[in-house]
Amino acid sequence: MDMEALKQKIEGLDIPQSLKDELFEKLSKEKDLTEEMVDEIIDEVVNAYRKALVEPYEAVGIVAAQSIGEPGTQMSLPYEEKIIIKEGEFIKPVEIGKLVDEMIERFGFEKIGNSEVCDLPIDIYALSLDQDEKVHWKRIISCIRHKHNGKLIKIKTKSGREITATPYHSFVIRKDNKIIPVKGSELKIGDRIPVVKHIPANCVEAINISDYVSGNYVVDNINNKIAPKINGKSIPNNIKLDYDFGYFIGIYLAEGSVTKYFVSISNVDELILNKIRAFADKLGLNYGEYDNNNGFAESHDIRIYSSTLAEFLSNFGTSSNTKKIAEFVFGANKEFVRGLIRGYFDGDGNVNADRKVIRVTSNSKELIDGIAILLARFNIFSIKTKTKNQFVLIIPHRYAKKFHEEINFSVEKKKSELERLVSSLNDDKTYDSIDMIPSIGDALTKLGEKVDYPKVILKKFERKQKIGRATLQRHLRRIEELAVKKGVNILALKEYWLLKKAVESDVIWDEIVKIEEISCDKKYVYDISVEGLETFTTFDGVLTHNTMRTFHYAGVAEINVTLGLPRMIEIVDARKEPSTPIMTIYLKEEYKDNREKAEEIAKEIESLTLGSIAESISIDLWTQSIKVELDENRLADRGLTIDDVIEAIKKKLKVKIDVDGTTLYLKIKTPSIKALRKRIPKIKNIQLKGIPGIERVLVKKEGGEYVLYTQGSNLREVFKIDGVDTTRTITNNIIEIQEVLGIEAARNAIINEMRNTLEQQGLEVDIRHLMLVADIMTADGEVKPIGRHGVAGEKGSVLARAAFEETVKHLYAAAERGDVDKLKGVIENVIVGKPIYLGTGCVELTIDREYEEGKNMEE
Amino acid sequence: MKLTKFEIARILGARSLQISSGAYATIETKCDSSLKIAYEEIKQGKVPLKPIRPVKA
Repeated sequence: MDMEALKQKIEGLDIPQSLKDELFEKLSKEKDLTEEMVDEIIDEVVNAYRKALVEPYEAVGIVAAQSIGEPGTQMSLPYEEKIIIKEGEFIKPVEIGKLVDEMIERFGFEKIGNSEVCDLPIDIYALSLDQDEKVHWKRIISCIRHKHNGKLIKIKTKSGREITATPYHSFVIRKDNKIIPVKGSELKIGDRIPVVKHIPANCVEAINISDYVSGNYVVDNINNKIAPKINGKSIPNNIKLDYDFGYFIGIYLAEGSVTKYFVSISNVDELILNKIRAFADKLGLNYGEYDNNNGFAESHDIRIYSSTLAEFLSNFGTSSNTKKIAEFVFGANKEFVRGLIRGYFDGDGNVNADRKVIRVTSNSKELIDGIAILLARFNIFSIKTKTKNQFVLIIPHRYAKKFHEEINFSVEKKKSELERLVSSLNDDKTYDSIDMIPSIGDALTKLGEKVDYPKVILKKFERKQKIGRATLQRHLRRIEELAVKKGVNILALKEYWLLKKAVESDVIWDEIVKIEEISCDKKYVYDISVEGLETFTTFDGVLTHNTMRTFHYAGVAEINVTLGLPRMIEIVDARKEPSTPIMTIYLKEEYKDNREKAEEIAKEIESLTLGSIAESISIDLWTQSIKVELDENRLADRGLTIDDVIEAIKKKLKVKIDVDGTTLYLKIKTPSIKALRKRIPKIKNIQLKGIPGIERVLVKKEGGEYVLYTQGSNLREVFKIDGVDTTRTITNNIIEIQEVLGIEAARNAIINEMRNTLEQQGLEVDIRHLMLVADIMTADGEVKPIGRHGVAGEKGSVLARAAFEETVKHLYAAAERGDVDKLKGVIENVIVGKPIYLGTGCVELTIDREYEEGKNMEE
Repeated sequence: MKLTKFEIARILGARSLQISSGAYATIETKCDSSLKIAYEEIKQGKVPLKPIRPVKA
């Protein structure tokens, strides 16, 4: 055949290019092909290709298997992981486990699959990242918890943030200038996950001290005083959260300690000491001063005598190891926070202009975490590290300017050093290995080309696919200038806004530096579902994503299957019905390639009860009957009429039925509320259509044909359906196989089920072991469990049975009947202390009569 | 008669017990323990013991 004609013929086909090339290559090698033969081959190829095609939203591949051990839908955080929430005006970090447990206790839960889900009726908000890369407060829709006993993964980022989650927990990454979710187990080192840089906060202006101390205080609301019940000085109860108060707390966090009766702060800086004195005077408190030189260095202590203040401050921790930021601070107004941070840095922080860092060190991780969050209020990003036993927070020099503007120091020495640092900074050198924007695609190139921006720069960033935020900002600014000069309207370009959005985003795309697996010792793992993009922020500032929503969607192609050890136990126990009965129904030739036909069969199989199709079933007191409201459209959808329903009811129940349009009134002979109520569940369970026991049917394309998966099993009835390939259709209910297909089939089913279960867990067990188990279980012609009621309970030897379980019962029974134990088995012989009949134990010796003593010696 | 490894072990045990309790050895040997003497006897096929084999049905 002519090459050109062949090529054209193939080119015109509706198949992928790679397939076309392959087809052409193969056909062009064949010499003696007629045109008809070529057409036939092409037809065949195209058909095979079409068959393998999957329509959009069509379920492909195996059923998402879910074992009790490791469900495919578990995506959660462990109890200890803290998240940032807002309740009313208060922003606070809470342990996710504590929050969810509390909500579930308060509002109850609904069981969905393995999860306990609680839809929240109250307004609590989580910090969430949106598609616009801005951080907003979003309402938490529901709390979820479920059991987990597998591994967790721990992710550490370059800036020292950590998060622990189940491998299925989903994170978000930035890809092609969009925010997309990705599974935790798919994250790799070098990927960038978002960390909040900015926290929008409502401002709490004042607090009541009484909310933060125990009940041993008397509150005087008229004079705004709070005082200890048993003598002691009073302090104002409602206290304004201002700069001075913040500063005092900051100093306390750095240098203070409390005892039951006083607050002690030690420092040498006169300026700081004066501020403390002023604060104490303001509250009207006495203080004492002590010189303290028994420590590492000389210092000066101020003790403020107030048990109320002392107890209030213990909210911030009492010793350097336990210091932390009290919850209300996260929601406090900016001035207060500013004062707090400055106070803290005045105490513990230091600046080094030569090394270009501002850093602060503490023994308390919680405090460092809290300060990092507070710094985010001022758009200051910080890096956490750890030295031998201290936690360090470093503010990169690029944020030094911001720090200088927003917070600064009071202590002269630190202040001048910071100024030196800020003035030494060069705006042009903006490289920052942490604040990078990944996956910018060709947006910058496209934009740059419009204004003839130097190609070298554009190409460099397109190749690297990441760019520092400040760098991008600088380039963008130049592009803007160029655009104005050249009169190009870049505002109309979508790329411009994409990049603009990235520059202005509230998050920092932090690089992952370490991923490790750790084991989980808690019973539950937790998740919350948030409005919008379903992202929320942990206390460490890492934004994560939640995909529980998909779990709620109806009709997602998932069937629950018991796997692993629980399934193994089920098989060996020969349960009447597995906990998750499932059938895999294969279809006959003429049905298997046609989706519509497959779906028809699925509809025929899926059981439909009156309860599931009726609008409502209730007791009608007026007519003393049960009222069943039907919807004609829904009935028609499943190919039913009202008469069908009436007939089905009449078959099951002795009732008189009055029909009123689409409403049925079922009347019984002696109506009473109790009698009517008793019948409602029965009526709900009336089978209208389909096969009883089969709750759900999924149609899936697998290996080029349509296969039905069902939840629930009924082999006998399914075999009766036309179009079902009875030679391949299977169920995981072994007993059912025995009843329908016989004992040999059951034996094979046991072997297959056990092998599949083990294989899914990655275990390789020689099939002969499984065959042995299956043989023993089926040897008597029926499937017997291995255990008390089966194989072990039917052993011939009394002692063997007694050794297994129910010792006394077997011995009594044997004594009563006068049973004899032949001591043939291993167990019996071990019990009586004889050698067992195995190996050397089954050899019996006798004197060799043929051997004559000394006979050989003479020779 | 070819002995199985189990039979050898069993005979070895029984014979060395006999020797240890004072039975005459069937061979001349310089071995110094009953077990070694018994093993030597088996190697030379001069043990006055034989296993009872189950009769084949």
